[in-house]
Amino acid sequence: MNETIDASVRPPMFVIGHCEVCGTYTYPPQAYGCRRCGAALLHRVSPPAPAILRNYVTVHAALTPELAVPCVIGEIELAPGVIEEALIHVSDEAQLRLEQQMVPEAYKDGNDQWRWRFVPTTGGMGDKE
Amino acid sequence: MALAFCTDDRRHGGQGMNGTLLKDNPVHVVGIGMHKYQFPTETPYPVLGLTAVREALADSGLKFSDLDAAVVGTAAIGMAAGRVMLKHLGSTGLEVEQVENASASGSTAFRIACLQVASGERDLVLAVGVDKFGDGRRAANKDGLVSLSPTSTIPLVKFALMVRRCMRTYGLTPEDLARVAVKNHRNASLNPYAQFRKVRTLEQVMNSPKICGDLTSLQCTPRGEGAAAVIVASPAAIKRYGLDRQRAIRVLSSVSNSEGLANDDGNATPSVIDVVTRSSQMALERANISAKDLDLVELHDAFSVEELVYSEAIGVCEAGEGAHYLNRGASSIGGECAINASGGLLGMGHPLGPTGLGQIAEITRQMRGEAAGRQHTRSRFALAHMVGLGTVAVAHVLAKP
Repeated sequence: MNETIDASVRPPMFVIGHCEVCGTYTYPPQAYGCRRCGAALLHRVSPPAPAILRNYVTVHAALTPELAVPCVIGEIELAPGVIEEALIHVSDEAQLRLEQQMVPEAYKDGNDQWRWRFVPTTGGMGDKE
Repeated sequence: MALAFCTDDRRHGGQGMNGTLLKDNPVHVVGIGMHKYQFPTETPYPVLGLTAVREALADSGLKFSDLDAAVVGTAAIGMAAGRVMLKHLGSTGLEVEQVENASASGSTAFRIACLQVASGERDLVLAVGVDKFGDGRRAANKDGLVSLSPTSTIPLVKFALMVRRCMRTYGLTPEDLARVAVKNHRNASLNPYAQFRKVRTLEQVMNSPKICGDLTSLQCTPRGEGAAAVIVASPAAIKRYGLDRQRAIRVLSSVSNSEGLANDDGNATPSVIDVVTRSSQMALERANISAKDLDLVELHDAFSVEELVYSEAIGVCEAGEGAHYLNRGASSIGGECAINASGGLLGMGHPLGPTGLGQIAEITRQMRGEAAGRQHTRSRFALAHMVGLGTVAVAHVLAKP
């Protein structure tokens, strides 16, 4: 019971899925099978290396209600072969550079659900807040 | 235990069979019809769809009661759209089925119709695409999994990211992107079925509101509605009904695939380009022609960058040469290979269900020499290619009689 309460208050750990059969990493870790071999069991593990920013753009138009614009969306390499589109928490894309190390940051959305966004190891929005 | 599901063969589409059905059993387009693509209205969808079907019947000289089956492509209307619409043409008892495959819904309906005829199961099949602008509900938002971005199922963002990659890799410029929209809006201005009928200048395209990254609003396909219908026939049906063989367009090949596993390389080819490459190459191979033989291509230019990278992926031009190919007029009407002579998704519009069938209708019109005002000079071979949500692709090669 206490654990449940704590989980709602404490930020979660950032983990990815790892296939015990072929060793492939997958995101999200709750995926229903390995994207390479289809094995059903994925272990939740910490990423094997720091996340790397591979690409980014600024979204100018309100494409979806839960997204305040302008905002920056990037492609983050979470593990070898696992490149995911992710929300980047910076005030301006000029604060970013390719191949930069990024760190996941948990935040609560409008529905009080934990979500992830990424910030640069230096120079992100977190440095100004 | 893991299944041996993802093998190298699957990377190439898992098309284990030889795919010669259409080669061995000719299928022809004998009738085409359209309802103009337009911004959303209160017009009920049967009115849109029936306009296209009646036009296709008139074009072919057939009656609705002659048809053996109907395949309906729609992404947003809902269950059993076909019978609700087609009953107004008479209750003939024909087979009616519905297919949804995102932007490729109409192309998939056409593929099923062609395979029904080629297999010998049917002689005359109607493929009709119809859509109203829907609520954008997607299965990817209902899979119970949480992504890292609220935009993860929005193709626009993926293509804006692709633009950035192309700018870094090939030196693509914002002007290169905008010229795609200029060309396709110009083509659309000549197409009475197109949603946009205005010629746009480079400045107008570049100065339209920014949507995402370097993509401006005139480089993004508009929301809309419409309908397109195509009737396909076996040689036996053409003979039985005395249809005009000179106006019948042969379907040489039909291929459908989905994305493979991304390479373990942060700078790997985006999976959508891989899907387009594999589907188009397989369709060309099965048609026994090369990309350089193509006179016409209708492709999925929902966002301007797509036309440039897909023209390279299809092989109409070399990798990295898409912008140069367009800039020197090679993809214009009257050029080496007219790409999106209809106006494409950017100019003609993209109501989802009808779009792939609208491509077939345009190619048919061009091959018959009936594309008044936008007639391309050559039309021996053509490719119709659609992508669905960036993850599936459907390709057809057609040939003039």
